[in-house]
Formats: sequence, C-alpha cells, structure tokens
Amino acid sequence: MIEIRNVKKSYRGSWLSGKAGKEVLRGVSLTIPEGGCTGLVGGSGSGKSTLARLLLGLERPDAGEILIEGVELRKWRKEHPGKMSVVFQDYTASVNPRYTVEQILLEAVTAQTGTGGRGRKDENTDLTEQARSLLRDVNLPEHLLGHYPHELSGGQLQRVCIARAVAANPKILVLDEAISSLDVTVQEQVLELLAGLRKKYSMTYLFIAHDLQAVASICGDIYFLHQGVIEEHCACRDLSRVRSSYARSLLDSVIIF
Amino acid sequence: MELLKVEGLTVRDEEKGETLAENISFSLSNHECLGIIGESGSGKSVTCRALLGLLQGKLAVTGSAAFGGEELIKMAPQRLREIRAQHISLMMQDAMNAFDPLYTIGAQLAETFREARGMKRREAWEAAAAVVRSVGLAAPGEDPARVLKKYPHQLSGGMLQRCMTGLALALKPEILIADEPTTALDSINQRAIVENIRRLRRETGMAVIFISHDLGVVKYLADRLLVMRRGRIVESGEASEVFEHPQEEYTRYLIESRRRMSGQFRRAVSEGGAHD
Repeated sequence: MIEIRNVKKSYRGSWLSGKAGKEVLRGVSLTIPEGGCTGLVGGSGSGKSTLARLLLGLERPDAGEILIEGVELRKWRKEHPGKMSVVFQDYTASVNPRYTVEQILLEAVTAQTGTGGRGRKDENTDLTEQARSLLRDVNLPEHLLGHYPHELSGGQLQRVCIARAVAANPKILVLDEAISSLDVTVQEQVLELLAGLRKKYSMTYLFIAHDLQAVASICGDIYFLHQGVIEEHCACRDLSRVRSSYARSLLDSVIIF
Repeated sequence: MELLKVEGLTVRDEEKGETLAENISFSLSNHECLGIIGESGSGKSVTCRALLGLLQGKLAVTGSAAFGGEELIKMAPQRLREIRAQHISLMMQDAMNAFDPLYTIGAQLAETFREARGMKRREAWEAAAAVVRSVGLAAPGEDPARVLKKYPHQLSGGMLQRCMTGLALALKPEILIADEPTTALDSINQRAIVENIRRLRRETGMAVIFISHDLGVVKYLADRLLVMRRGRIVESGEASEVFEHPQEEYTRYLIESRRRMSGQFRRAVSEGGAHD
C-alpha cells in the first residue's frame, strides 16, 4: 500500500525566466491499495506530474510524508532497489537512441542484478533469453531485439519502455501519461497489455492521465487533482456520482463515442 | 457552394522512395465539416499540409487542389501566404512550436492581424486582446495584457493551445484545418475548443477539415468522413452512416477499438443515470 499524506511542494520563481513562484501541491493525501490500479486525473498544471516525481523519489516534498508498506519512501527504496518503476509519456526521450532494443532492456536487467556487461558467455545467452521473454511479455516479435529506437513505431517503442519498466520485476509501476501520445487503437492495445501485466506480476499501478475515458477503462478508483488539491476520490463504478465542481465539469465535458 | 476541390493529390518522398499520400480526392462546401480519421502515418496531416504548401523537406506534391478557382498546388509562395493569412487557417496539435519563443504572445498575435488584416498597431493589439478574452484567458474585468505580455515559455501548453485556437478563429477563415487540436488537452479545454469551432461554423459559415484520432470528437463535429490508411482513403461517406455502418474492415477496427476503450466509462456514466 502506498500512503501519501498531506504532501506539499512549491517551486521558487526566477526573475530570469520570468516565472512566478508557485505552490504546485497544496497538501495532497491519497492511498493506493496494494495490487490495485489507482487513477490520477487532472489538467495541465494540476500538479499530477509533480506528484509522480515525488513518489519516484526524483524530488522531495516540502512537507508531508510518503509511506510504502508503512515504511518511509527513501528507506523503502533503499531496501527494495528497482521495485518501483515508471513509464513516461515521451518514449523517444526515454531511451538512448544509440542503444538497440536488446541493450535498452538489458541495461535495466543488469542494473538490478549487478552483473554489468562483463558476464561469462553462458550468462550472456541467459541475458538475451531474458530480453526475449520481456519482448514476449509486451507482444513484440523477437527480431526487434537488434533494432534501434528510430526504426520502431511509437506504439512499439512505448511497449519497449513498458518491457524495460517491468524488467526488474517491480512491485509498483507509475504510468505518467504513458498512453497519451499513442493512437487510439494502440492506446487500447497498450491498456489491455498493462492490465494483463499487472495481473501476471501482481503489480500496483498509479495511472496518471488527462483522458478520463482511458482512466476509467483500467482503474479501480480515481483521484481528481485540481490546482494542487485533491478535489474528489471515487470508485470508478461510482463515477457518475461525483460532486465536486471540477470532477463534475471534467465528466460533463467528455464527448463520448 | 464548393469551396475546395482536391483531386488526385499525391505526396512522395523522393529520397526514400515512399508515397506518403496517394491519389487523395475530396471536396468541401460552405458550412461543411469533413472529418479525417486514421492512425499515425496514414497521411492525414501530410495531405492537409500539402494543401497549404507547408510540407518540409524534399517532398514532391502532384495532383490538384482548387480553392475558389485558384490552384493551390505549385502556387507562388507569396500568394499562398496570403491565402493562409486570409482564407484558410491551420490549427495544429503542437502549440508549443507554433509560437516563436523570442517574442511575446501579444506581439505575435498582433503581427498576425497586421499582416493578415492590414490593421494598424493599436487596432491589432486590441484584436489580440479580444483573442485572449474569447478563449477565457482573461475574464471580462481582467486586463488581457497580463497574458499578452508573456513569452510562450511562461504559459502552459493548454494556454498556448487556447491562444492558437482563438487566433485561428478570430481570423474568421473560410476554411479551418484543425490537425489534432484537442488531443493533448483535458476534457474541459477540449470541449471549449470544439464548441468554439461549432459556434463559428454557425455564425460565419466556416468550413472545417477536422483531423483526429478521437472518434468521439469527430463524430460530434463531422458531416462527412474520410478514413485513411497508409496514405490512401479506404472509406468515405456521410459521417453518421460510416460510424453506424462501416463497410471496411479497417474502419470497423478503428471504431471497435475506441468503443472498447470507452466502454467502462460509458457504463459507469450511464448506470448512474446522471447523463441523459
């Protein structure tokens, strides 16, 4: 279980860029049940990506605390290296363009096991087999192992990123707008893939997105984040009963197909 | 009245020997909204950019696109610039790249009005202020200069998107080409843009080419529909007819994918009975 308790985060302004200082998260609390998929919905500037960065330990909150299985985040991360992983929206920026798909995947595997690149021959074949099995997990053909990122389509590359994210067998996966750059048909396939992987590896998901329909299709419950404050929390099936004005207008604005 | 008639439009990448759009034909009348759907790389954007002479790189465009008796393909760049400024506006997905980072939003909006409408400095600044108000970036009592004096990097992606939408609509073009304008936005901003487009169609008779992979929005706006795949049109017709009775397997696949994805949401919303 992940508990985020009354977390606050501000960024200082800068006269150089002309940006004013801003309190991005103004006391956010949310609970993500173990093995569940929790959705976090909000517009641009709502603070949802900042919350993801705090949860990933890329930044520290100004106030409040984040507990995983009852343990403080940084301590938990030390005790469980690689057990929290992330998939970002921008798949092209997430991979090294000079690496092949195999190198991209194995970097994640070896970083965990500490075998580095200096393994014996049989160890290397074993690693290649691991990379193959990861590709199978995300429904990609094995011959892509030797390809470079620019030779793949957006959907294929995002699948590689997902494969890399699950390579170290994480318990928690943060998906920050992970499907937003993809075509609708591909979005649907990737959502299905993610749902399958979650069951297979009993992972906990935090699914961050601005598209309410996508969130509803994969999540059990949804938090609505607006201007740094959680406006509402509801189970997906009770979506029609949201009351806060932000969640209501988000819901009413959706053009359903 | 027929505004635009495209016939046999083909775009080829000579260096790679690829055909990006092949033999595309359609027409567009006053008031009409033509939706174009298809996956990435299907040639939707390339087709529309070819019409406006906005393709970059070594791409060869052949075929014909007649706008009010003038041929757009191979038109002199200067005249094409006038057409883009006065008759056909383009609204893009990527608002971040639509603005020059070195100039304030106000300067860029005003320059467009001066060039496109021949306005004087003060008049153009007023028009820019009206754009900012029209898309809700400055409430009636607020000073729009607060937004106008900002540089692009000081505004969020959603705000820039709204500025671009407001500008495209303020030019009151005869044709608006909207290339995935709502994809990156949350439902509230998305709805605002879609309703703005509808209003302008009603008020000015503007015709729209709306490119999107969000079938919900396309269904809501479009009268007619083109379905594209790998550079070709695979199906076309009345939008309601194509959505209800798709003939091609590919169209059915697009529709079913979207329906599956929105299924949970539809059920959750309809079971609660909050929606009608």
